[in-house]
Parts: sequence; C-alpha cells; structure tokens
Amino acid sequence: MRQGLLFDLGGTLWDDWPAELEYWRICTELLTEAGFPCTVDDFIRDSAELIRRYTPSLNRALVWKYSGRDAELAARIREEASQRIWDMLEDDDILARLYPLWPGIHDVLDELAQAARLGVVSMHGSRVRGVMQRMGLMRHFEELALCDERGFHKPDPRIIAWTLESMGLEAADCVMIGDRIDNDVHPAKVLGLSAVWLQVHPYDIQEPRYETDMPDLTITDMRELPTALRSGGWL
Amino acid sequence: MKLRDRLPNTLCFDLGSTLWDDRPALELQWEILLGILAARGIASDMAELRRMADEVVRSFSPTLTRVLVWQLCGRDEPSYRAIIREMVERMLPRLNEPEEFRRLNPLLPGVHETLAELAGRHRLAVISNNFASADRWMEFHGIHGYFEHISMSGAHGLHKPDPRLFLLSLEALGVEAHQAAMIGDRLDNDIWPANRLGMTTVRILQGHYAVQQSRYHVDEPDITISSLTELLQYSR
Repeated sequence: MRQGLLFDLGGTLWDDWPAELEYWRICTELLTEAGFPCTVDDFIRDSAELIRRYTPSLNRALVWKYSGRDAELAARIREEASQRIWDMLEDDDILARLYPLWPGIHDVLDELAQAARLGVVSMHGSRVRGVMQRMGLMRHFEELALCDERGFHKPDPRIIAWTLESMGLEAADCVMIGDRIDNDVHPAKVLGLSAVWLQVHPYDIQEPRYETDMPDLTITDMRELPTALRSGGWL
Repeated sequence: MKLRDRLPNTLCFDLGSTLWDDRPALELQWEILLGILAARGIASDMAELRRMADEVVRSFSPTLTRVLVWQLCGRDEPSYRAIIREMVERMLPRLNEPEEFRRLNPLLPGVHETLAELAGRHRLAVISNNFASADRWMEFHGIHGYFEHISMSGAHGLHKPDPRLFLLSLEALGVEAHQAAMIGDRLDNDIWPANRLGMTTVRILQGHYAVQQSRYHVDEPDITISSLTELLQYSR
C-alpha cells in the first residue's frame, strides 16, 4: 500500500510548453534589446540538445548562452521576463491559455486523493501558489515544496527528502510523478521512491542513462495514472 | 561570499583524473567488460566503447562504465547487475595489489610536491565516487596522510553529484561551503554540485572529461587549471 504521491507541477499537471514559448518570446526580445540578437526559434533549436544533456534548468541555460555567457545580465533578463509572465498570468484567460491543465487532471487528483496523500515538489517560486489556487489545484495537496522557498533546486534530492519529512512519509511508501528523467525520476530513485514518468513534449526525448534513471512506469497521458498505479500495486 | 580568484582555507579533492590518472585502469576495466559481454553473446569492441563513452561524457551522465553496461545489455536490470558484479569482482583484486594499482592509476605529475606544500597552508579533504577501499589506494600512493577527511561514495551510499556527499565532508570539517573549494576534472560531478552549494570551484583539465562543455553558469568553474601544480598560484 503506497501512502504518498508526489507531483511535479509544470509539464506534469499542466502543459508547460505555451508558457515556455511566451517566456522565451520575452527573453529573446530583452536579449535583442541588450545587444544580443536572438529568436524563439534559436531557443527551440537549442533546447533539444540541452534536454538531452540533462541540463537542470533549460531557461537558465538558454538565456545564459545568448547573453554572451554573462551570468549577471542573464539573471536580470530572467527576472524581468518572469515578472512580466506572472503579471500576464493575473488575467484568467491568459492563465488558461499559458497553463492549460492536462485533460481530466482534477478527476485524476480527486480519485487519487481518496487512496493516498498528495504533495508537490516543484522548481517554481512562491507565486505559483496563487496560480494553483485560481486553477483549483490547491485543494488536492497537503504540502507544496517549492525550490525557491526551500533553497534546494532539482535534481538535488534534498527537496524531495524535505517533502517526505514534512509529510511524515517514508521513501519506500511513495511515488514521484513527473515529466523529467533528470529532475524528477532520478532524484526519486536515488532516495528509494518509486517513479512514474509522464513522457510528454519537450522532455519526452530524455533517455534513462542507467538504472537510477529508470522509471517504474511510463505513461503518456495523466488520465492513465490511476490505472497505472493500481496495476503496479501502488494503490 | 565565496572566493573566486584564490583558494579558501579548506580544499576538497576528487581522485581519478585529478590526483591520479585512471585511464589505464579504465582500459583494463573495459577489456574485462568486453570479455564478460562476449561470454554472454553480446558483441562489442574497444572502438565502440570509446565512441559510446565520448557521447556519455559529453551528455553529463553521472557514471561512465555503468552507462555503457546498461546500454549494451539492452537495459535488462538482472543482466546489468550480474555484469557489474562480475566486473567488480575481477577488477578489485587487481586494484588492491599495491604495485598493480600504481601501474593502473599512476599519480599525476607534481601531485606529491603540490599536496605537501598545500597541506602546510590549507586543510585538505577528499570527495570521491569510489569504492570504500580507495582509502587504501591513497596509501599505496603515499598521499593518505595529507588529508584530514575522506568521503568515499562507496562508504556512505551517496554518489556525486548528490550534494549530500559534499555536505558530509563540510560538516565533518566544521566549515561552511564558502570556506571550502572543490578541485576536480568533471563539470557534472565536481563543479556543478560544489557551485550549487556555494564552494569555490577549480576545474582541472585532465583526462576524458576535459571535453565537457558548460551547459549553463552553474557548470562554470571559478578557476581553471591544466595541472595540479598550478593550484599553488592561487594559494594565499
């Protein structure tokens, strides 16, 4: 009997790609203004290679590369772009367009919450709490571990370890569900959790490097999750 | 704030390709691996292993030979575990013999002299993905005595790039991350986790991992050297 299900957010509960493209549009505009001309197409082209190299943060890597490897300028541009995205997300229509929930996600979480305790482990900052509230997602989760608040960044296993401790759960009784081999599956397996990989764009091209990267189950649609967990004996 | 242009008081070293050249040992390991694979009907050769290894290094996989085995055995977990076990069983007796160890892992030029000089001005430690028996291997080279603390992954069940292995050393030495430096050849396993924790980072361009390219700023070392003796320029 598994007691805890830990979820990643972007790419796992909603499709992160529309927001990613919007963020890249703003970043490339800011970089071009700063004298480093580049386009969203450059970012899209480079992202595949970065994903295959298990780069912990795609956005940090892309903005750093196109800022002439100037970490300070890159940080300023990312901050400005995040600010603008979060401001845009205040609008409900834009939120629905940029963070489209995966089909059936509320039903899936409602069903799972009856059999297990749910938590979140995400790279997002505090502002995602408000957004999740508006999307009706907060009610499903007992605990949110956000990297910026905790000071640990995926794939550092301590962010998952902190969540387990906070919820009073044992690693062996938990499953991590996420869309990334490097940041979700790998640290979960290192700590002794089971892992479900939601294989969706753009991280669907990641390949497990060795046994510590191997998900116990792979799904391509979140609606498959309850059946998958039951068939694996986790529910 | 961490130091970016000189060394702090505490220095943590990687072992393979940082203090000793582990390429002859890797060659032997791969010869043994090819024999085990052949006995299981899996055909491969040294040229293929080198090609695969180059890709693995560039793609930031935490371990090298394990990834090769994983791919070559068709990602079958029981065979993978059996092959790794057999390889280690054949490899370890050779490494645990002092002369053979020194032949397979020769100390890099100037290491003794550099460590002796640094030990007079700094506190030295080792953070390595290695068997627990690597403690003895350091004795084979006569360098064990320079180090105040040694964290081997095999002794703790934590493996680089897991930051917890680094924290074990820092806690044992009673220092904060910004008071320590990590010196190693790998961007993924040495530089990235140490930067994440706020340690000063020194990349040594030696061995197979010299071809690794930074993915983003967290992979960027504060200092880059091409041989250990250059460390002295950054001391005091």
